[in-house]
Amino acid sequence: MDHKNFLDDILSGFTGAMGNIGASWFSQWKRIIEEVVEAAEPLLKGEGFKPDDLKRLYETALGSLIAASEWAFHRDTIYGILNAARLQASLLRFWTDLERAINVPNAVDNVRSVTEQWRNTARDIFKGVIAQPLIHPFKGLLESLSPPAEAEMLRSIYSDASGNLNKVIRLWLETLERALESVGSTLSGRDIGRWKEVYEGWKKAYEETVGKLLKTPQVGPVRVPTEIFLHTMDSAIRYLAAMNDFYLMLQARWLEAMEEVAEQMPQIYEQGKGAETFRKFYELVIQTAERHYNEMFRSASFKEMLSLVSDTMLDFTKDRQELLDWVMKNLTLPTRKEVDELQKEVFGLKKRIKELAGKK
Amino acid sequence: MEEKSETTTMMGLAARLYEKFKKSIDVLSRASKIDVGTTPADVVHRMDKATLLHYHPTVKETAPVPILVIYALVNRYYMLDLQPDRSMIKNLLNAGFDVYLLDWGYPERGDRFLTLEDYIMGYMDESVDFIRNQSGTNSITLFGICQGGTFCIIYSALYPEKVKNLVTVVSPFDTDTDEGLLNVWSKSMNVDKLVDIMGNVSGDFLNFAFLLLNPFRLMFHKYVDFLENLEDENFVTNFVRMERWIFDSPDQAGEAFRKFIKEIYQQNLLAKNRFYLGGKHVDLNKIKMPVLNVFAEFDHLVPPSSSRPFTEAIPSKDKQMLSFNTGHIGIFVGSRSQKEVCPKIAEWLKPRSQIAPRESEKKR
Repeated sequence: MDHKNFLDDILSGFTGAMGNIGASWFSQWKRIIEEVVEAAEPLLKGEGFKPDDLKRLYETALGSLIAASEWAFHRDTIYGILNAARLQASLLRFWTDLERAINVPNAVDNVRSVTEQWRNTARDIFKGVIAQPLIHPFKGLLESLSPPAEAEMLRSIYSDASGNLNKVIRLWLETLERALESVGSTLSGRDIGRWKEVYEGWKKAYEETVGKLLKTPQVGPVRVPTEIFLHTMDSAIRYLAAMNDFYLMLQARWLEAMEEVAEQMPQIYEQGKGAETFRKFYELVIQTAERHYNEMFRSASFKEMLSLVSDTMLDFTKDRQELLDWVMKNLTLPTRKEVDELQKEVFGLKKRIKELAGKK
Repeated sequence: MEEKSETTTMMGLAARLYEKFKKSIDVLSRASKIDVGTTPADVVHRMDKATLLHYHPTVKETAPVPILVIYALVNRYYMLDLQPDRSMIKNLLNAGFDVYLLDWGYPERGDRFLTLEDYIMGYMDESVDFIRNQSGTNSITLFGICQGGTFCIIYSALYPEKVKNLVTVVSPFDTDTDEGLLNVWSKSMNVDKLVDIMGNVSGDFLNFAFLLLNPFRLMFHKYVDFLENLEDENFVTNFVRMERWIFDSPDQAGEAFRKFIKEIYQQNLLAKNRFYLGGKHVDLNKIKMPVLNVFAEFDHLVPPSSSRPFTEAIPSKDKQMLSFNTGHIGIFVGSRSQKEVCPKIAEWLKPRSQIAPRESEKKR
């Protein structure tokens, strides 16, 4: 068996299971039933099962089980296990390549080319494994932007206007994403300034173009909801931009840490071969990353970044609430503000009753 | 040949990893019905969502001075009773104490107006009075954990006549320290904006901040460790219990959170003896009862530099510090802690709780 294919299979197995977590348990169950029927078909026809079919079936079943309601209790744990396993599998694949490169003729050249691959591996690991749990708490809000549920509701009112605006905003965000991606694919941890430059340029351009458009005072009978809508779009973009900034800051430090790992790799390799050195390599990755992140978390720039992310998140949340309130009002349903006021009054009354009961 | 055997070794490692990953699902399916907080207790008093628990004594005669355990608002109290052989509650019961615990419950959106006054001068005071009435004692022992310890310090300064002994465990006090990342981050937090917009502060969000303190250990490595120990049933059940506790994070009532972060974490008013609650000065000079201040040397959430100064800040003549070589969580659940932490606390408390000699001791 080709070991590389085998490891790739393992990686894709993890990826498949990871992908399944996101879906609802109901749709997962539906899917597994379909898969079981499909997979069982050759068996029923007397053609027999292929081992690969079984493996694929297992991955699907695994994803379904994780997402199923009785597994809700273990959901975060399983997510952690999957992610940790993916990290280990990615490192393992790299380490295997390194070992192979050393054990063939012209080893020096091979090792050099493999260690150069380390930077790409480190970048892929960040993107596929590290980033998700680190930005997890912010992700929920971001997902609601794509497309914003409120925008969908308002689309019926604004029809084409809203659709076009959405398109403009999406285009704008895609530009940022593309620019950052192209910078991200070449940067290493030590040239943080480069992505900052791109990001700052994007922000400036935004303020002068789309940002200005979104702040334009509105007139006419739909002035109020239009302004709320535009404000929400503006705060959403600012929030997303801050999140990109945050993501890149985490990525840059990770890459910097992994550069350090690359420097220490030869010493580890000299200590022996096989599984034992891999464990040392894994420990080195974890410890170096932890130390770098701890240093970064204490820095003034990280505190600034945390403030920027939480401020823009709260601005977006506030605008979004206003937008929802406007929608609720038009549907003649109680708004959040009204419920808040009621709850405050009930809370005060309950306290008063308690005080009066105590005086008796 | 050599290359082949090495490849086999690496492939073997990969295959083992994959097998373990698959097996972990089976192992977890068997561990899905684990129990936590199993030490028997009765709910003896209810206050809105808060409940007062009274644990069943495990000895014939308990100490006349009951203990009220006050846990933090963050996470759940059953950390103290995670499993029968790792239970601070059970250890206290077995040491002959009469133990009560105040469970704060899970605040909902309507509870965001709850203030620190409601928690400390309301629920806590009502619980203390209830226990005093039920036990017939004038004063009781307050036993505060983490933020609950800070609450106990405040309470003891406000109502010293009701507190016979005060025990604080890994409790934040002096927040002018850069040792813990939480201290560093909370300083730049715009708590007014957070509470005004969100109402309650999401427990998951706070939990994320705790995980971020050691991201690679807590978000990745501990799961690798779990895969490595799949065969060890004890390890698995302990791990699952701990995971359950970690991700059981109640939201924080907005107004209480606002005051706690602004005045205690950002302005450090409690340690400066300038903290007021419900219009009353929380005067540390009134803490003259016996005090035991317990902390962990490797605490990454509440560093010793935050807990230690409390002992110096109070005039009590009967005060002691106990420090253990463990972390914020390890102090409650570590196997060594079961043999060291609780016995030492009990040893300190016994003579101050007028424990009647047990039957077995009388015979000697």
